[in-house]
Amino acid sequence: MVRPDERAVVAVPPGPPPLVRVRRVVKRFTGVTAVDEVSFDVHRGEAFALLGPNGAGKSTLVRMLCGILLPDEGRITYAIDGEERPRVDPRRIGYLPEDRGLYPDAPVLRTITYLGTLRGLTRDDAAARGERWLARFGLSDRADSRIDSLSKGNQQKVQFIATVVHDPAVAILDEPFSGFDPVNQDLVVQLIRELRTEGMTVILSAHHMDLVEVTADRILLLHQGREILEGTLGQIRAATSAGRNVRVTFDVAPDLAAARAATGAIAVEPGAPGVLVFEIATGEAVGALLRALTELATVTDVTTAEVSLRDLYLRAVDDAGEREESAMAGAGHP
Amino acid sequence: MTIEIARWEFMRFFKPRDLVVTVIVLVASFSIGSLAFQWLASPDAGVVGIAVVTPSGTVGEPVGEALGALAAADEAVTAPFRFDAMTASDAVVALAAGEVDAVLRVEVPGVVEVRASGEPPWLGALSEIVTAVTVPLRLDRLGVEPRAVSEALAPVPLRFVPEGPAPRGGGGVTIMLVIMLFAIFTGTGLLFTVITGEKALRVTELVVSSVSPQTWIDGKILGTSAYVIVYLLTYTIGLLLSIGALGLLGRELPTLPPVVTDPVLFSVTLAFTVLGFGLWFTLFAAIAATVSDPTTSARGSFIMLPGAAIAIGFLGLLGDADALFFRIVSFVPLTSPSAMPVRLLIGTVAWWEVAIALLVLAASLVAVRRAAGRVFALGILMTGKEPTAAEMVRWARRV
Repeated sequence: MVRPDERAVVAVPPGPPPLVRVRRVVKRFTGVTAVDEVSFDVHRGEAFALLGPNGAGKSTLVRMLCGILLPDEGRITYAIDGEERPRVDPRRIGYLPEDRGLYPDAPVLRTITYLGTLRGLTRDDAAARGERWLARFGLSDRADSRIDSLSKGNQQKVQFIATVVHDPAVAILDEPFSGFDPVNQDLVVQLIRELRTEGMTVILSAHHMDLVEVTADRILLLHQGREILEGTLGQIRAATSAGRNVRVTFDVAPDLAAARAATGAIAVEPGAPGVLVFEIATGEAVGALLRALTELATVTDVTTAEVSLRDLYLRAVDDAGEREESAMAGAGHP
Repeated sequence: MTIEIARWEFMRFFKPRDLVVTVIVLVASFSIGSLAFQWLASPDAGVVGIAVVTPSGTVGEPVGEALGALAAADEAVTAPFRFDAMTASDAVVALAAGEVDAVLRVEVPGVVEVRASGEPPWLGALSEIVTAVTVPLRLDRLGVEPRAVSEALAPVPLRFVPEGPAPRGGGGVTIMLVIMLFAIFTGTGLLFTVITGEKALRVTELVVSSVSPQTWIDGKILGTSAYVIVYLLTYTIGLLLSIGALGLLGRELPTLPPVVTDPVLFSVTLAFTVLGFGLWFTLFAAIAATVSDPTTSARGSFIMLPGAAIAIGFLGLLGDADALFFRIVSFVPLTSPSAMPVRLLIGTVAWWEVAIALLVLAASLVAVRRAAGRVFALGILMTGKEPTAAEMVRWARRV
């Protein structure tokens, strides 16, 4: 996988510049480096995910992308109109902050209209667009209701409308799935897909890996402020040597070590009672695995799946930790 | 954009129905209060019933005779008291039954004993009326002509001849003080609530990603100021209607203070008020932005500072408004919004003093607006630890 900063040195690709270009960005707070030399590109029309656990630096990076915070080092450029600019025009981005909130006592449509005018729309235009979006979400009859009279799911819809009412070129969504039950998480996934169909570029940060997996085209894995992997899911799988998971259900599950020795699988983990999950290399036939296993126990069911993004992430973090330890050992650190 | 934010902030608090209710309540309160006052002041209201016990032994003693005379006098002359002569036993029964408010008797010559429950508020008035009836009796007994005594004790009249131009009068200053304090507390209170509330409601990032913090703070201050003005206008209209209601009830109408009737004085006072409030609101918005939790932050007490500074300007009322101290505070931007109008009302001020004070105030507002914008920009995104005063000063000086 070629990193964006390396690409910039090795070869300049022809064609328009990426919509967002982030280069060696560093942000420090008192005694803490929240973002450490992170570089990536986001291309027009794609869904790009910043992935990492709490404290990985995602929100800080998102705030810098929105212009709320300025990088201490490095640069972020936007090329929304084809020309790269160091500052983003707030009228061309939509931002859904992690710390979400609206004015609870304000009416729904008036809130959307106000937030639309802050993004450069006229009051009438913002109100008209707000009405259209409310109709789209089946909330037309709640236009004059107070925000705090809505259900949490409907408040989320209003928040989402406020993010995109001005039809931005880029929607930046910070932890859009957090704090919601599975039903509302699915709603957010659906909303992001709708934005994609309208040609909007989406940058999202999340730690819900299963949801990112079904939402994003490309992913940047962050750990402790640093990028550890970037690319499509396939590229990341290749980079982490990840294969496929084969979930095998037995009458009586064989011994874990014996199963691994017999099959030569990359990894074996116990699942539910009587179930073992084998990871095999991509392209390796499942038949060979099954033949080896039937000699150990009676197989009652088999399912296959790609290794989950969660497992890829954990593996990448482990690899990054090992690399760091080796580097420190090489430099003579204890 | 600033205007849109100002409009939003204004509309968040502007509730026409509430303001109309405020005016109605104000007028009704004044009218009811005035009617109650009239009723209490009427001859029929609050008559104090007094039982007078005059034993035969006190006849010929001036105080005893005075009580007897009061008991025989017409009620209209003795108002608000009504004296009734009774025997000692009847008086005790009447007092116990609540038919009278007190019992008077003379046990020791020259001393009136008053029996009543609690400590009646009319004791002074009672003493006056008894004394007024007793003194002529005493003089008669001493053989002194009452008219001679009146002439001897008549006060020496003083005739006041005003020198120089007539003072502009301070009748409206107290009203000004009340209105300014009311406005400054309302405005700073609103700003504190709005800004700390927005941090708690988590709308801060959403807005700051759309507009610059400077635009936001400007819009907030404009919107809040507009609401405070409407709030004050509502009360002013309510007061004027109340005064009109007093006129309809036949009460004497108060004269309007010169700060309202003199266009120059009104304009200058308005300019100082608007700029001064702008300055205080700007400072306070920056302070409020650094508050992490309004329920625990000690910075909530800062809300007293603008009121204290405004009050300092009004201290000129207590002494010489043109004394050196008040001349100085009328140029200091934090106190000049009240001190200079007070000097204009009850002191002597040259036009250039007013001009310089206004310029200093305007220049301070411009400088503070930029500095406060920087503090606001950083403070509004901070949660947890509140910045120290030194940090805030460092932010304010950052270019």
